[in-house]
Amino acid sequence: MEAILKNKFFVIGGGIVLIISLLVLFAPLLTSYDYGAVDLPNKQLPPGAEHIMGTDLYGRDVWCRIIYGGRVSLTVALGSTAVALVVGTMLGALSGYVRGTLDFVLDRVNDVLMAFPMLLFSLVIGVVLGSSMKNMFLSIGIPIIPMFYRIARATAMSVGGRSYVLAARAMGGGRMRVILRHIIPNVLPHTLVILSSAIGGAILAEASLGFLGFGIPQPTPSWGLIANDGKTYMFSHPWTTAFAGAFIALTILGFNLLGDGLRDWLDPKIRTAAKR
Amino acid sequence: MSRLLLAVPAMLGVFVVVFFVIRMLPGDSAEAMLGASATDAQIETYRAAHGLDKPAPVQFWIALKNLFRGDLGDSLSHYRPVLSVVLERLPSTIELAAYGIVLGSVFAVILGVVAASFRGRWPDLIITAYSTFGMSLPTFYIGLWILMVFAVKLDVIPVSASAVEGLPRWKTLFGPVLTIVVGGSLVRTTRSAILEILEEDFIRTARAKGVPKALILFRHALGNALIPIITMVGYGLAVSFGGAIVLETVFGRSGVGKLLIDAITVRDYPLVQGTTFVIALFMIVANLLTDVAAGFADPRIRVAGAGEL
Amino acid sequence: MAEPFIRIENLTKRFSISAGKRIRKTGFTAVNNVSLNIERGEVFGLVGESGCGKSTLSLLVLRLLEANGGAVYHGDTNILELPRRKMRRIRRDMQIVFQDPYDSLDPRFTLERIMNEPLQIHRWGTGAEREARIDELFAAVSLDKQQLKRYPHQLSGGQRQRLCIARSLALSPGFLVCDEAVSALDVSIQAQILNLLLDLKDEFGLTYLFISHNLAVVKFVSDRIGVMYFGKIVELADTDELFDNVLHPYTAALLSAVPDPDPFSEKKRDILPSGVPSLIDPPGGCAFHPRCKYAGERCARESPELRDAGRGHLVACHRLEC
Repeated sequence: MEAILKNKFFVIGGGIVLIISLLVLFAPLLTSYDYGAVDLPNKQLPPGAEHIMGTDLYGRDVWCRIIYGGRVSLTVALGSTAVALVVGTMLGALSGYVRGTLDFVLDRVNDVLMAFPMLLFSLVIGVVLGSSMKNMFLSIGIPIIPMFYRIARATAMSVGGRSYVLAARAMGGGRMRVILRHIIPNVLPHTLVILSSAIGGAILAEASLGFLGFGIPQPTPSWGLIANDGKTYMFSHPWTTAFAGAFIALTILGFNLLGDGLRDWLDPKIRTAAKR
Repeated sequence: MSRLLLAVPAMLGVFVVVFFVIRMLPGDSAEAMLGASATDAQIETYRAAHGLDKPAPVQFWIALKNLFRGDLGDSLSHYRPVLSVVLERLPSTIELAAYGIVLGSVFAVILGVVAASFRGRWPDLIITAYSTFGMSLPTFYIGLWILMVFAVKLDVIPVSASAVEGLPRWKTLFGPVLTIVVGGSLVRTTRSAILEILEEDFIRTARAKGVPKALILFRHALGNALIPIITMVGYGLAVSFGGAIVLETVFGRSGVGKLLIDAITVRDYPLVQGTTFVIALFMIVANLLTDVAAGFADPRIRVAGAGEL
Repeated sequence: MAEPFIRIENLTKRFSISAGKRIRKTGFTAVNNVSLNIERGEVFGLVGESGCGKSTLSLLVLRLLEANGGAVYHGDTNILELPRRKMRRIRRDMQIVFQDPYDSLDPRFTLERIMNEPLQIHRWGTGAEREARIDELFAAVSLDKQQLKRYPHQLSGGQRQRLCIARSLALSPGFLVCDEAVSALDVSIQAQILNLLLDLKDEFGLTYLFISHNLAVVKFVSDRIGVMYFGKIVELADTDELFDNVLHPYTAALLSAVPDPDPFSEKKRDILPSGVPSLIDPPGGCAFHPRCKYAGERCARESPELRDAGRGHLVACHRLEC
């Protein structure tokens, strides 16, 4: 545990994620404005003492909208990653352990999913389901299932051939038991390595969808929607989009660095564990 | 060539999914097209005319038969066959994605090789930091800043490409392609692929023989790193195509991405379905080509492939 | 003779190479029409080179791998035809110890959890009863129950194999397959584990199918021995009979390869020409004929049947049929 604190990627990335999480968590303490309060006389103000990040085209405080918007964006990112993690890991473990026709079919489906641009996929699912928080979990989560599926499948294939799995079967342990007790616990450390960058990817997806105008409906702010609000007047009044984009980028950077740090720290362990 | 054969069921699968998923949408396109003021009789007539009154399996069968004749139905907002609308817009997107992927790969390979050859020293640190940062920036954000600089401040490209007639091609491509290139999504992969190969014995042997460093890097290392890079380019294509959708909106190009987004906005479901299907088809073919390319880059895959496929 | 406990009839397993992806399949027969009886209370030894199909056979007998043909009778039920639920019940009576004790133990489980696994699967007893059962088993294999909270990597190789044995005995099986159970261990530890296995056999009334490539080990533990070559049993006899009266040239070659503890003995070695034949493209006739010094024209043409050469000594060789 001390070793990981010496990893500078982990420390910097973790620091960024921690600070953003705290800002978002304590949003009510950090602003006196209401994120939905329209104040047209004070619209599109540049950053100043009253509004540290200026106001948007309805005169709403951008800083306030960003820290509240982070709640939405992070919830969507965590929820959709959770969907992908659970579904991808289960299917991958099943596919890699059971093999045969099931694996063949799932793997082909996975190939097709991987070939498809993620954003397009999210758009189409979003259209079908309609826009709500829960549906965002699915429309962003489903396209990242392959990330988890592939890792789970590869690990399940190697673990499935180990004698302890054969021994469990010889004892009369059924498929589900073997998958839940032996395969999945051995898959999870590998999954942890990509988890952080998957969250970063989900934040990116939410931002892009929001920017294109397909997000959680107004007035709930999310970072993508805030960026979208500002884009029409980007060239005369860049502040709204600039600050929202900077927050999105910083958060993704934080998760990516955290993921890099975790990988550096966990990978040698995984490698030695596999060798034994 | 079993992968080629597999592409056929994959395509059919995509078609089936797209077809039924679109049917699950709330409110059918009759209501969407005729508006809220339409009478029930008008809606019924419309539905009968477009075959929307038949049961879903019948509709599917008709759609499938039409598919084999190259007929994807009619667009409700363009009043033309979907296929012709999509094919009209597709070249623009392919052009953008292709320039993006080619120039993006060249950029990535140069930076990747430089970084790998200076491993751990300042050029490597700068390039790694740059690519880590670049990967964290949303495409639309980079695009907007490029517009800000090149269209608003320097005025070398228009703010919206489709708004200006008779623009030279490079001016329409400059912004979005630059966005994909500076995003640098392939830099890290190239760097680590080359680093991994530099650790191998045959490189050490070459070094021991006194082969110049540049020759080792470009002949031995890069040649062998080509497979992971090509595979990555295949994946990058999906990324670049996804990026194109956003960038068409940012830079005002009228490609399939913009087409799809507009179709979704006006609920032109046949067009959504057709666009999705054509893009999926294109991506599957493109992936197949990258597989074949990876095969040519690696004699081992080529030989094994001959035995296995 | 006692009643046959495990009866294997015409068991066959073919593997296809690269299943699924291609249309034209090539394959090989790992276990080819094997029949044998294992009596209650005996140790049946199975020897053969690596790749001869003995491990495949052990997986087939326990139905950890589905056979392509034949039957495995446990008493008078053919377990290969049992539905899953009934199969689970019969698994309590048939257990296995594998070659590599480290690979046989999930590195994420404590010893306690490892020992509990079979008991939980079969919902055996209450928590306290399970604890008592584990104590009893640890005592039987001379493991210290202080170690229950530890992980497998904290044990030595011999201790790990003791743990595997204890786990396999948890459900009081009658039949235990030992698949190269001592091969991965140091020679000094091998003897300890072999003696332990023999003690446990008496203590718990076990029947063993003992598989090894090491003829000396098999001789030490077995009542009867089957010699396997290329997926088939080529010779089968009581241990003493087999060693006194070797009939099959392959067995003879195996025997002469056993190291002699006496450095001055002038044993002449019967060294086989190298080259185990290709599994995918097997030689016609007797599979052993390309390496056999007695091979005749008939051997290349016709595969010999397993026949009784007297006193229950079975052998598959044309040389003995005249």
